[in-house]
Amino acid sequence: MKVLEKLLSHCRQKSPWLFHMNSGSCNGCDIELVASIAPRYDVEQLGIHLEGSPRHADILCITGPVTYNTLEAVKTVYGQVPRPKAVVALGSCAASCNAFAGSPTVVGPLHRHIPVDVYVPGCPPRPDAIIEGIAKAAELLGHSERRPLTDEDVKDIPPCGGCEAAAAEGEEPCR
Amino acid sequence: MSILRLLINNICDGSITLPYPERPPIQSAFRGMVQNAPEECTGCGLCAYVCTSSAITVQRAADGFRWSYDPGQCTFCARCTQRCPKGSLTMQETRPPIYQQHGGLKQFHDVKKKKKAAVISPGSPQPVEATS
Amino acid sequence: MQVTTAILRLLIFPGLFFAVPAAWLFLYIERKTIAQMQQRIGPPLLQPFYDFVKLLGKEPLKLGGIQGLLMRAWPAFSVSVLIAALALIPVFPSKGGFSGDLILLITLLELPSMFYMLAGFTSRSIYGKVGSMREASLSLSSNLLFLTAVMMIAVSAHTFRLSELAVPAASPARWLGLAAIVLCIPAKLRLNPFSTSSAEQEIYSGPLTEYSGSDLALWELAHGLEWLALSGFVVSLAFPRTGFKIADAGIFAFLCIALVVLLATVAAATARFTIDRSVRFYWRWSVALAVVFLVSAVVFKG
Repeated sequence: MKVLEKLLSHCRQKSPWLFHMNSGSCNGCDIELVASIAPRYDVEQLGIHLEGSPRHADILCITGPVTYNTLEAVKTVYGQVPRPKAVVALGSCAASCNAFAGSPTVVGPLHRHIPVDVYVPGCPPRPDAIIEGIAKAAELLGHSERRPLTDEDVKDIPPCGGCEAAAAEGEEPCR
Repeated sequence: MSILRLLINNICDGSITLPYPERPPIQSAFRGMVQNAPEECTGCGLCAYVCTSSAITVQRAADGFRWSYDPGQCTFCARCTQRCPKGSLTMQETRPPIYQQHGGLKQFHDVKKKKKAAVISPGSPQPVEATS
Repeated sequence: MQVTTAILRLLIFPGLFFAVPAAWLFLYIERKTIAQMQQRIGPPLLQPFYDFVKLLGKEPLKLGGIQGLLMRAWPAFSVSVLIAALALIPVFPSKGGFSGDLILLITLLELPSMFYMLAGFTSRSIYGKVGSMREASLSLSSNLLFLTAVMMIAVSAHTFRLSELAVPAASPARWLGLAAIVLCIPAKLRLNPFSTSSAEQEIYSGPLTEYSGSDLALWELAHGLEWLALSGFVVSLAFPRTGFKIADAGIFAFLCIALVVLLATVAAATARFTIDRSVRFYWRWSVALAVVFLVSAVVFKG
């Protein structure tokens, strides 16, 4: 039923529902995300809706370097988002731990624990950059050949590029 | 009833939203990604020393150096551009783009070592030229 | 034939095939009005349709046993009860088809909020429990006002039959009752200022926290149908009939949309009340209106 599949892909792109999670960030990126809901940027024109529960969402926006305390919560919330899902790493903390790389309480950038689809760089990223990132994630959701993610996708993620030197010396990166 | 007046004003004034994909203009002195001019860079490594988030690294080898920069790790504080003694580092006045692979925006450039200038004896009237 | 008219009313107008797009239209009007009040653009016209289809394509709930069965049943019951309530609304008062009475309509309009509450308790999540308790308190207090107003309307017209109530009367009891019903609608629809049972910032969507996929799509549809049923109920008791079906339908649609815009304006203008303030608000009005009702029942007794 190609027509129905095309309709479903189109609707997935046009109605991306968001869940925002903070995994230890300074709240700068969170404030910019909430600013994108404000009237000047208005993500609702793209159908984006900030949801209260991860089970209602398609796109998971995570800010912050994943701290030791929030690691289990991040994995649990990622598991609670029903498929098909996309993950957006907001800010440079989620992309690569920023200034906190090497800290004993930071467990590493986001892609070490869950698969990430879009990175939005910036410290903090501007609201229009955040909207562009979410629109890109919605476009990825709209590709009907996108398979649902499985646990296999999470297993073989390479260690963070920023700690390559540490890994080359045989040390445990980021802890 | 000031909320009623506010609502009426809001309806009469219309929407102030920037319709997607329009974006607001960048103001001057915006701190975007760091860019390096390879011909000015001497590989002193002061930018890597003051970098807050270890986004810049300078690796020296026998025949030159490699200056590498990861905008995904950068915190856009501009300490490197302030500290650079040659002024080869500037911050682009554009937004860093979104990317999809980890480390997708990393950039580096290799600079081969410059030959040293010839040493002159004191009292010589000839000016010294540094060969590159 | 009675059965044919009944089935047509249930499925075509104002039943399923009319009600579902109309529900989406009303959801769009609500969101667009709130957006315009806040100087935003708001969603495109087909947004509720896109949301519905997208939710149908999501991974469904993985619960089994009696809990899974009940959680899947509540939204389905909610939608079917609302379709039945919509079939009863007397847009064109006639003697054929469903000529139910007011008590049946009120019962059917009551059930969706009860199913919403039960969904919160069935999901066994703490957020669901808190949201359902708030919904229960709110429902208890706003229903008193709602039922008192309905009784006042019925007593002043001396009838419980919808086809006879659909003729507008100029009595003050009718208008006071309808105003009180409009005052109760934000609590039933969980709009600001009475949206405390699904407060995102506090309890992560409340009773619907554990829902996903097609069940959530049915909850959203039930919300839209509830908009349609409640505003249709109020308008059908109030609007003047011209005798021409097309003109009647047009006036009915226009007044329903006007009511939606009014309630969305109130939702945009107010903030959320806490549960004790909401309950106190409704009890005050209930007591006041109960006094008026008793007086009017004595006056209209003859």
